[in-house]
Amino acid sequence: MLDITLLIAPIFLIILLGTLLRRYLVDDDDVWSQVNKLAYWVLFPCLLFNKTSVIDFAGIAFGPLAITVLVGFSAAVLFSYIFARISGLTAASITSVIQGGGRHNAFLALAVVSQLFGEEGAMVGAIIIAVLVTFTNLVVNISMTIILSRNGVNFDGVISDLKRNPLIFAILLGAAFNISGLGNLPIVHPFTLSVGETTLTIALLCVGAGLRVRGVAGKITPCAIALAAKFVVFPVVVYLCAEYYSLPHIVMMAAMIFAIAPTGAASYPLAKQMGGDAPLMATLISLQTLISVVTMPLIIHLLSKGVVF
Amino acid sequence: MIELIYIVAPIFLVILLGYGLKKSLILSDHVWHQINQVTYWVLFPALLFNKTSVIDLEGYSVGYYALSMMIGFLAAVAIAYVVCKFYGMSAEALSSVIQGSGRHNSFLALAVISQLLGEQGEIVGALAVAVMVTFSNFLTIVFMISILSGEGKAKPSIISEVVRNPFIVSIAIGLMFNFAGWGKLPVLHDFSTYLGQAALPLALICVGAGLRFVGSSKHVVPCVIACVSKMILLPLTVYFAALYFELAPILTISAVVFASVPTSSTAYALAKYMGGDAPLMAMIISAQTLLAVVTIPMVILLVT
Repeated sequence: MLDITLLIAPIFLIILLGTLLRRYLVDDDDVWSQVNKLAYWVLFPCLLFNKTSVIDFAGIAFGPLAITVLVGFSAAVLFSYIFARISGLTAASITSVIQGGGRHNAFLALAVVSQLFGEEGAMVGAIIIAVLVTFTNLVVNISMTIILSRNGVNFDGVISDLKRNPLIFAILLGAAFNISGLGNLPIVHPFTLSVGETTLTIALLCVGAGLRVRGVAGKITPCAIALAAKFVVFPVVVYLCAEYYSLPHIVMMAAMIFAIAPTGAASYPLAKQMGGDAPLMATLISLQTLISVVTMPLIIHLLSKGVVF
Repeated sequence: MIELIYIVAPIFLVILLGYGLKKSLILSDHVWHQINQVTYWVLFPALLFNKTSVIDLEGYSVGYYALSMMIGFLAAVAIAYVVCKFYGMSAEALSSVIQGSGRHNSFLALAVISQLLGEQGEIVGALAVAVMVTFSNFLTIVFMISILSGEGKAKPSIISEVVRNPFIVSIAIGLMFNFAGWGKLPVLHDFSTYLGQAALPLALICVGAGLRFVGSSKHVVPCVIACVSKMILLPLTVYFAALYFELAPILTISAVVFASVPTSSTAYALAKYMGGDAPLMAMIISAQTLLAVVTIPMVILLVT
């Protein structure tokens, strides 16, 4: 159990480091906004392009595993949206609750799956990432654009906003490269990989820098909704689907690990750049990562003993 | 040759990306300076710590490896000095040529070495950083103080900043952990891996953002002197020294690549603070960075 905690701790430490850097080295909030801009316009798009361009679409074949994680994700997003709406949250806060409820930290989930199940786990993890990362980013970006659109929801406005979205653009470009067989181009692939791989660290530092401990008290409702979506709705739905399809143990475990992984760090630049509730997002990411230190090892332990549900 | 281009091109594309970003997305010099600070004080030291804490020094003649690089530095700087004196250059210009002839960009060096030699290369590259950052920074500063009469002494804070270098500190701590057998401490190793992963791309983006294409015709001669001694004389001397000392191939390649990279991008700030010729320094850095696209693959071709 301890080994899982040891994998999550560094993620939390980077958030903490971001808070310290904001305090002692770079105390200018404008600088952090600019770094966020860099993550949103350059680093994360490079990562998405890189990953999308080499996904083996044919190999995935929307099978039971894909359906399991996508249904789990959709349930978490719907749950987040409906309850955030009922609670009368602002549009900005709703989008952050959705991101908190539905996204996952793919780096962390992959590290945990590999640690537990070695090479085989890493392969299942890669398949889940291929399905979930693309879908998550499409759904999140589109729904955020719709929810945050100022001129009411009209088709043309949303489309023109989406055209200016670097993440959607990166995914589509990556898919185009992939389909035309240009997936693993020399120079381009290592270039986008090296730039893209900085996303996790830079985004986590920004999360830490944007964290305001004082504001937490006013955020109990959105936090509760996002936590329930992430740690209850997402895993329960994934578990039920996995049972329904009788997925093999390792495959089920991998899907569960992605379901209970804390929300991804890239949600912060998105919130900041697209007009979501960035302080709430920083709180959600930090809170979920902290809670995961306990919940991930615990749920994994219970699942491998077969005592859950 | 084509494989070498594949190895070097992505690295220069990252630099180019930085240059483009400075012109389009992030215009403020202040912001770039702050991003640079994070790379300099946090990310790159984390990378160096991460690598040196797991290094396996068994069987490498580290002493001769260091000596080869030092000999190269001294030869390049000495020749540049003599040629500058021959042209009767001002002390300001001379100090910038010296910086341009001997110093190195650790980020670029480590990026090329790790692409070329993989994990083990990253580790011997980190060692080269340890040796050469200390050696070349110390000598360059002593030299600048002695020729830039008086002006340099006004800024002891800059000097202590360069000598009290976070790279050296992090490498020293890394080696301590190494000898204590704490190379892969859980949490700490992963933590520094995550931070280190962001170090090189971000540092290279900053190098690109810092490029300044300025300079006038009077800068051409000193610039050529600095380029010839840095990009040709220095790597050649290191190569022959490495041959003479019969270094292991991985050490030879690493030392020569280290010698072949452009001068440090901090040279500009140092020239500015210590009263050197800053526009000339900017021109030397930019010219060398452009030339390196060609010279680094050529040098690698020579030694492999």
